[in-house]
Amino acid sequence: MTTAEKLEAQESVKRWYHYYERHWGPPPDWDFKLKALARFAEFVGKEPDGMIKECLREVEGGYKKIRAKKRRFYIEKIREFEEQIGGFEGRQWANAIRSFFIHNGVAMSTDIMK
Amino acid sequence: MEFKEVVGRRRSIRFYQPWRPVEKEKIQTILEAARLASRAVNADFAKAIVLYRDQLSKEDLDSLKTPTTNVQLDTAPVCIVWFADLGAVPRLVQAGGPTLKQLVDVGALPPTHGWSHAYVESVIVPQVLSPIVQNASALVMLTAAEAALAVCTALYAAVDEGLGTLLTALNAEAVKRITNHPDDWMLLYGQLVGYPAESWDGGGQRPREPFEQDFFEMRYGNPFPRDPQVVDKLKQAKMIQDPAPLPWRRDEIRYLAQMFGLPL
Repeated sequence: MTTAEKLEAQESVKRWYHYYERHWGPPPDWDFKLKALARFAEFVGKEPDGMIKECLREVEGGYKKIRAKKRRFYIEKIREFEEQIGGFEGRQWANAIRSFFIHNGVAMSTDIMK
Repeated sequence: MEFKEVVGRRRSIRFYQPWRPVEKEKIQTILEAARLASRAVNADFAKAIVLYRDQLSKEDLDSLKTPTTNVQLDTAPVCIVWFADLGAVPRLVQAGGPTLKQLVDVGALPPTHGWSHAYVESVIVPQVLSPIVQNASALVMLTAAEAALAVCTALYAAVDEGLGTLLTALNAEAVKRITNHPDDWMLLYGQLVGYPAESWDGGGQRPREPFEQDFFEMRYGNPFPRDPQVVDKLKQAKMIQDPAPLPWRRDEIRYLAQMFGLPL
């Protein structure tokens, strides 16, 4: 099984694709997105499902609540990841990760590019 | 702009031209409009502090953000922070109802309707307003609702000035630290103001529930009938506009995301 296949088997990655596609159509750069996620997973030493599980906790009524500290942790890690690559390219890689979190229900913010 | 069109053009704008400042006279016009909004007992419930993005440090700007209030705060050059002044009615009671007496004096509250200084002193202040001051939830509800009328007027004034605008949540602790507002001012919203980077119509008028679901005649359950001819007239007056999403909206967001370097 390739890294991409392993990633696509993760629930959080399926959810990402599903919600992205629902609003924006099939992602034309899906391979790039998976590559970025794989690289970020290596960067933080976590599986995608694990990252999302860390950020969301189940609450009464079947809802999920965001763990603010974990969210902030990943915002910071994505920023570091972006800086490591640098420039516009870094932003593209980092935005793929942000998209992964956003479509899993973890709002991710970033500064605008000037 | 005609009033109906102002109502029809209002959208919550979430992308602003970060490079284009807002003229100070337009900000003043927005505040002047808010000052003239309807307000119970003529008390000054609404208070505002104007923040200029470029005069805030990056740390202060970031501290105001919530998880989904980020791009708009980075791009809007002005944020009018609106408060409900919980001290407005208590001050009025303590002073014996001066703003009401003023309304009697200028003929806005005439004796034809039972108004007099004596009525203000013996009935309104001790029997109507004092109990509200003693009841915290009633005081909060009245003050917030009255202040919101001013905020609503400010929104429409911004649209009339050709600006984009949006009410947004702000981090209350950061607002307190940055503005040093009085403790009895309750934070309501940040009203962002700027020139839209997205199209002014934001991709179409936002969805609303059916008219008859919200408005009734005489009794609940008896819907107020919606006359299609009136609807047509309001369409001509640009109050009712094409509903969202307009066909190009998603492409617009793609381009905006690319322009500002944002995720999709």
